[in-house]
Amino acid sequence: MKPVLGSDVARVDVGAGPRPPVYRRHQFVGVLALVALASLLAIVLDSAYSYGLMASWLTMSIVGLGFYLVFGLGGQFAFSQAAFFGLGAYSSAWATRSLSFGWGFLAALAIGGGVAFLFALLVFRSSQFYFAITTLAFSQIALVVFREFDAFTASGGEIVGIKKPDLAGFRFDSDLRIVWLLIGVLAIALALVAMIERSPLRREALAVNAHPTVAATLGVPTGRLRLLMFVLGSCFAAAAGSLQAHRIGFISTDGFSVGLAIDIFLILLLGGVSSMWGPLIGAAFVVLAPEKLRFIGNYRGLVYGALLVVVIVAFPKGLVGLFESIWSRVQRRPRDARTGERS
Amino acid sequence: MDRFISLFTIGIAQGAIISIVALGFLLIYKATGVVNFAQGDLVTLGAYIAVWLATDHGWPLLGAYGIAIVVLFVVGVLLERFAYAPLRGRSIHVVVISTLGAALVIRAIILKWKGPTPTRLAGPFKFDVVKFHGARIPKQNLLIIAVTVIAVGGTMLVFNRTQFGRQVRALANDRVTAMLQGIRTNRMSMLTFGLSAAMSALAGVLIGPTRAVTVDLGFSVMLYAFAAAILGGMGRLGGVVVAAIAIGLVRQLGAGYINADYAEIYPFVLMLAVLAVRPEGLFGSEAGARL
Repeated sequence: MKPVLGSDVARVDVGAGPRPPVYRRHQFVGVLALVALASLLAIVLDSAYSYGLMASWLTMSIVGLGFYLVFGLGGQFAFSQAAFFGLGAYSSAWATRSLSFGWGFLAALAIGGGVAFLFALLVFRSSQFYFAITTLAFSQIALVVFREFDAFTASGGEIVGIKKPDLAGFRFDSDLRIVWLLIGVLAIALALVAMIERSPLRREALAVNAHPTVAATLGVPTGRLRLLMFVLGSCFAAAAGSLQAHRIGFISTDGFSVGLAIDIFLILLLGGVSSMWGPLIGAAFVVLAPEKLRFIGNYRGLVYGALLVVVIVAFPKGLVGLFESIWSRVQRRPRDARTGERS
Repeated sequence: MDRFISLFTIGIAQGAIISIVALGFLLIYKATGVVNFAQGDLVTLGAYIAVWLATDHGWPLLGAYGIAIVVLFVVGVLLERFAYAPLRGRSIHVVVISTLGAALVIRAIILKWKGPTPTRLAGPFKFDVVKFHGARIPKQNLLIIAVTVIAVGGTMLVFNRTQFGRQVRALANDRVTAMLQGIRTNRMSMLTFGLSAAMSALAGVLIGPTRAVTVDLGFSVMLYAFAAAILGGMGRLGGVVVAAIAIGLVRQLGAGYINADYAEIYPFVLMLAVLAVRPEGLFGSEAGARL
């Protein structure tokens, strides 16, 4: 993979000079490598505990990838990702009362995407800050609806005994099988994002992000682009929610609070907001850190809050950016400041 | 009728508290352009400090309340020094995320200090009520309304009639020009953060006696304050106060006459409905608010 992350914004401003490559290449190689790595991990691991951790990592990676579309590319400060995660979970549990898992998953996508679309239509004319607050309000509305709307969820928003996933007669009834299912869904999600990365959508989204007015005068459909990124990212969250519900078999409103929304922020910011690989790293941290480092478990809020500030101040490109700068140091080949290419 | 009066006064009292928090939030926003996500946790911290002094150490209430407000002023200045000052000149996204981080830290400190068990903050009136046309109105609610009238009136006076207020308005209007005119932005931002945090503490000690004090105390108040600021269009302070009262009333009357289970969300539904029609809020003119 050619690491030229985050320099695209600057490129929009560059007039003369050597033409930067139009599309970044090798994303699909990266996707394949990652799927191979995850598969290897799934084969090597052998305890229910480690399968559980891995499944959490895969699920949060999908949510984080969705948030990469919303915030990384779309530039929208949204707290709604956790709510859409929950909406997917509840929709799927509701649909699978009588239907199979496949339909539940589709219901999560359809309801999640539909609600995201309607919500976005309502408030898209409002400014960035207003949008951020309305997504926060949306999360609160969603939590209350999950808790109170018994016909859709269940009494108190707690549903138990959600059935295990199955597809075309094949039942994903062991921990390992569910991990395989999650790897499959993550692969599809990664492939989708890679396609966006390779399409003009990425550049246009970043242009809208950096200079909305300029982008609009250049004919980029700014509103439609933001809408697309928001709805697509929310669908990712809803899909992950559906998988989560069927994997664990139990959901309650506690799992979808603003605390999760902040975790999702940390996943993206820590991993690297300007790279599609960032969320995978961030998700690994958020899932593993409380388990492996006990002191983080005890001081979770303190550590996460401090980390948010430190990362945003010292490493605005997250861990991915950090790896990159170390890598280019190691190679001792300074990059061309203008194009981001190695000389 | 008594039911209506009772719901109405509770709604006004809640709206009053929301308006104090919203004004504090707006003060920072106007002077620095920062959307402070730590506002709610400052409310909580103020209430907890008062609990600590009044309940745990037996201080007289007024003293405990006063100390809480003073301490929060200092906390606000510290917040400015650590979460905002090092980031001046960075993108507003960065600053907002930093206030989010600060909110997490404050909340974690409160949890470590006081634990998750709800406590109570003593009020000056215990549970005394005033009877009015058959409605029983807690005296605490009347106190809230009275204090808010003074606080909001004072804020407006300061904002519109003093040198400090004029400087804040100048910063809100055009930051660069204001700096060129010699306004000490550094001191101004410290002062506004401090004042805003002190107002949060005032809201905290006022709302504390009306409900259980938990770490989540300030969060919902902050959300309603945000909603009020948006409904009011982030513009005139009066508009924001009207919006805050409207939010308190919608919540209470909705709870009383529609369905109490969904009480929390009526104000947000109102906000979304207004934004759908007027993207810049009810009284707003600057649709392109900063951030």
